[in-house]
Amino acid sequence: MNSRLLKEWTQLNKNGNKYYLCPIEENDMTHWQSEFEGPNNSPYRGHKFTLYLDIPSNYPMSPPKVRFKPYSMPHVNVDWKTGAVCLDILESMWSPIFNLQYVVESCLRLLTEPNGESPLNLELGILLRVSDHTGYNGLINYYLNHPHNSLSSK
Amino acid sequence: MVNNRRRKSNQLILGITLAIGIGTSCYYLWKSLQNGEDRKISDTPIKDATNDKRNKSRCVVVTSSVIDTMNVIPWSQLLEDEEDLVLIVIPSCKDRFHLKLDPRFAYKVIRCDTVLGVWSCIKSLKKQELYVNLEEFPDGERNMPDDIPRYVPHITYWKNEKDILTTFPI
Repeated sequence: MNSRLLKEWTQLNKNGNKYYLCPIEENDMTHWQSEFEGPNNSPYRGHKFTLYLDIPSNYPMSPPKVRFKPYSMPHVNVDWKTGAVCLDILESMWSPIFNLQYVVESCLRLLTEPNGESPLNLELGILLRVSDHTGYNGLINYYLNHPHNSLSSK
Repeated sequence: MVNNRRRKSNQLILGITLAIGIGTSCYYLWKSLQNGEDRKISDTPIKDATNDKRNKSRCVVVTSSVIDTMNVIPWSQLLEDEEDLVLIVIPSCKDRFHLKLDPRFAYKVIRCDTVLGVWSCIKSLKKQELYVNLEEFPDGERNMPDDIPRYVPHITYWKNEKDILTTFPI
């Protein structure tokens, strides 16, 4: 078992695990999940989200693979279908000093600070690029509230 | 000999009577089945049409003429009743389009600051039907992007209020 992960897990339990970050199954430290609410100063306010973290065998030398629950996160840097997240610290900017909590916090920060430069959701990317904030928030709000979205194949 | 001929004649009459009887029965049987079929056929579209309306996914672009129908067409009711209807409001109308809408359905109205944003919302939502009056878009922005039909299979181009009332009869 990865000692670094055990250490992180112990730390989380000691310091109050505010993002409910934990291994999905008790005896498997390679698949984690986190649950959190959308930040107040964002169109995600009032909604709950689940983030999945798959840990590679050489963690922390390589970053975890991170994705939201599919069809749950309408965000310019998140693939709507797969939930995959485009974030620099999960790719070229990864450093072994980062931990899982930092990864979750970075994903949470992305909800208030979307990056229009690397869109995975093209239409939201355009709305952001042309500074159509009303349309951007309106479209996100639509997806978050539409009852069929969790089953959508869009 | 005579008896023989009479017997044959009787058999012939019996045969013809039986044939006519069977023929008539078959005709009436076929006719009654046909009526049943007709009833089934004529029932189906009405039922489907009702289902269609509830299941259809539609996107309406709100321009001036849509605002003019606000006193006639119960837009709030439509948004509450129709599962998959969304209204996208163009920039020049976003402050003029106010509905008394149950907050649970408010998400079905998307206001935009830009025309480019309107088209992005339409592409993202990928509804089955789009209703739009391009003539009421701002000058220089009345052309629909070429790729919109790839995202929405059925597009209805409204020209005036009458067209809207035809689509959404009261």
